[in-house]
Amino acid sequence: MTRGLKRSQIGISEEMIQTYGDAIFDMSHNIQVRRGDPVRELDWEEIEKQRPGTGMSDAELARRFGLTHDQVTYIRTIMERRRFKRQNYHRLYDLGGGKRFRTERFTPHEERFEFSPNAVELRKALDFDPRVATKYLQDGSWNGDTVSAWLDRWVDKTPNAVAVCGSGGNITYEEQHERSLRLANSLLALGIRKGDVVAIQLPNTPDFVTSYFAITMIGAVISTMHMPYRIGELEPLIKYAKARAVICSEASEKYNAPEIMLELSERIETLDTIMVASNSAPSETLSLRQLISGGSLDAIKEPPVASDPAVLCFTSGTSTSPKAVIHNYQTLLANNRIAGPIYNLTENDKVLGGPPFTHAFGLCVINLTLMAGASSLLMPAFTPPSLVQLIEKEKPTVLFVAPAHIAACHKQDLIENSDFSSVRMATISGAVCASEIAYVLDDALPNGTVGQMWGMTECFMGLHTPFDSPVDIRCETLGKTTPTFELMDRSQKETKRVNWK
Amino acid sequence: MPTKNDIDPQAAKKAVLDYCLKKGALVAGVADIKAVERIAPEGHKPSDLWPRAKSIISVGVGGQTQGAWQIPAKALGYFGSTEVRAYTIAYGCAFYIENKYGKRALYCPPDMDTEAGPRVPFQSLKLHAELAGIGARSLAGDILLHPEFGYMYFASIFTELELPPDEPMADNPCPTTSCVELFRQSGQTPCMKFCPVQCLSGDIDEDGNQTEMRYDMAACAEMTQQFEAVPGVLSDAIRAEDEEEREDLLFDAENKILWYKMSVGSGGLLGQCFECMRVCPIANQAPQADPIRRYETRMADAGE
Repeated sequence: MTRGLKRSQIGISEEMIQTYGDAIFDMSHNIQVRRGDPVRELDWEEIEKQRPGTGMSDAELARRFGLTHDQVTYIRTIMERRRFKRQNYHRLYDLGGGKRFRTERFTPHEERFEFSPNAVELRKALDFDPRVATKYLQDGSWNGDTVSAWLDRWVDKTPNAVAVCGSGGNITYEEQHERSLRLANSLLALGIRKGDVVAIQLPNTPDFVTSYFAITMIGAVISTMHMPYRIGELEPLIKYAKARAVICSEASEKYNAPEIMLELSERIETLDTIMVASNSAPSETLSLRQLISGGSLDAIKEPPVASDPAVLCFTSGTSTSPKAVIHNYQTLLANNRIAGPIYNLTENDKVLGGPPFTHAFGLCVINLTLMAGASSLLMPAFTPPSLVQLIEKEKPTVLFVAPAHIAACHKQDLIENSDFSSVRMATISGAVCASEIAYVLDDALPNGTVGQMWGMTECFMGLHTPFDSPVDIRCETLGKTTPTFELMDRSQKETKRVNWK
Repeated sequence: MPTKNDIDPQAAKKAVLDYCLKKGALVAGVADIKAVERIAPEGHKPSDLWPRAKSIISVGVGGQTQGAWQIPAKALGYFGSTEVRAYTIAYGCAFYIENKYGKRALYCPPDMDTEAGPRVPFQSLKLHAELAGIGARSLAGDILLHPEFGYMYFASIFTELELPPDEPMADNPCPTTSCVELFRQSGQTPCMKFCPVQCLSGDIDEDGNQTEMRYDMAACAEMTQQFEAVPGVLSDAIRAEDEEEREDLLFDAENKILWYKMSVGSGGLLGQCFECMRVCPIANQAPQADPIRRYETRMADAGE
């Protein structure tokens, strides 16, 4: 409508808009070109000559184009509606306060980061009871911590402290950060973005640690695959995770992981990048080490926030089929932080994590160690002698082990004759522990005590035995809940809160 | 309204302009109404608004403080404009003329022509000011600049009182030497380079004078005038495929702020961008563009 008149009253058709629209738009005020300074100079001839370029009024355009005034006004305003983009106001948001617009620095909204449909679906899986979430958010149990933020903290505070150690030597926090940042930028260069799932099947090696930090730096989601898994177990898990990439070990006599992963990439639509933890990679795969060394040190532009999905892990088998559990950084790290005082780790601790990092228990140990700025002592493969030798040689101050580790060592009579004097604290977790096994380890620690922890894939650190409690509590019970936890007694259909104190 | 006889046009002009300056105008002048009538496009000539007008008085007021120019663009957008101060002076001036000389006068409506949509004003206040000699067209989309006061906002008074007109400014302060230097290096002056939608371009001759000013007003308006935004949001919301999309369209922070902008007054709040003026060495760096420097000048003058 123009002046309240309908199209039929003005005599407008869509065809007329198409015919005259562009010319009216361009010759009206929308595009203005002035040559010289004719008005200021009162150059009448030039003023008249330039009138079409300086923006003609609707009445003037009507006469020039053989249209009515109403028709021109109608067509001009409808063209402005059709042509004008609403989103341009965004361009102002990052300007001012010393920041000026630069074409080369500007990214239009349509070109900005967008989560993939699979990443959006994954985010939907983070579905919490609003009452519980509100409580945790308000009491600070869930905060803004991320793995990257914890790593950054120690890079700033103790850059030369040892972050990772083992048979491959020491890696400082600064070195670890640089390696991970390089890999993170390589992952971005490969097109892996925030929210994409990266599966990983590696033993407890520096490559795993570097990959874990790199994946979390860019906000991708790590999905761990246990080392014994082969194609039959891997396929449903990677397919379910909709992984974009996988990181695996190089081929060995017993297991050709790259070949298996390539076969899976043929079968799984989303899987298009295979990275092999070796210096050179087989055809159609990429060398993880080359990605680490060749990556840039650019700051990550879209780092994750604590509410972003961080880890997609699978339970190892309380039933016949594993269950997928998605964690954001809040559910991943909250219990590390809340239960931290129980373990009282410090920057001076050297932490040996017995469980594989592909297990939630293993990730939990990495995070707890990182939170404290302590050193991670790596044990790539477990055998009873290797565990005992590693403890005697590297002298960790803190152990995290599964009952099976101790049971196997005990079976070979290695515990009783070993030197575990460096250990001040040993936590058994990952499975139900026979009390006699716990007592055996406790007896072997002249300067330390044994405790137990329970609750991994779903909640990361749910129950703990305080290290200052009597030995029977530490060796024969699972202790009490993590502070802030609530226990639900389903038989009673009521919530019972266990008071930590 | 009794008409005063024996009005001395020169004395009346001085009295009227002095009134405007006393009330806060930085500059004031009289535009040649015949020239305005000749240049203004059809439908927007002084006679289209008020055929009995004999004179047009134009006043200019200063912009924001130096501090204001430092803040983020999204904040400056709300209060960078100071035109209301000019309107107030013009409103008072119209009463002043009617009271003192018995000649009818009006504060020229700065608003848009309701029949032509939101981007076509009744009158060009810019043309009035330019012909009154209180500003010259810049490469920044013809925004008027003054060599002493920089970037100003203007208002006009129409009156039956006949006043001798002023001449347009003899020289155009735009572009400055530094702008010419940048143009020689990069092909862009600061206003062109830092425009968020790159709506400005042009050319400068060997003597450093403007030879061409190109202004993609549509691109500028896309960002600075969100007139299509509210109906566009509503239109999209009606066609939304699901409730989630509809909720985003209607209640997203950026879309809800449109309602806020409208509720507090659409004057300059439906979107404003000052980036070309922020980087202009004349706009806010002219000798008296800074209110503090103006104060110091006044104090020095008073002491003489």
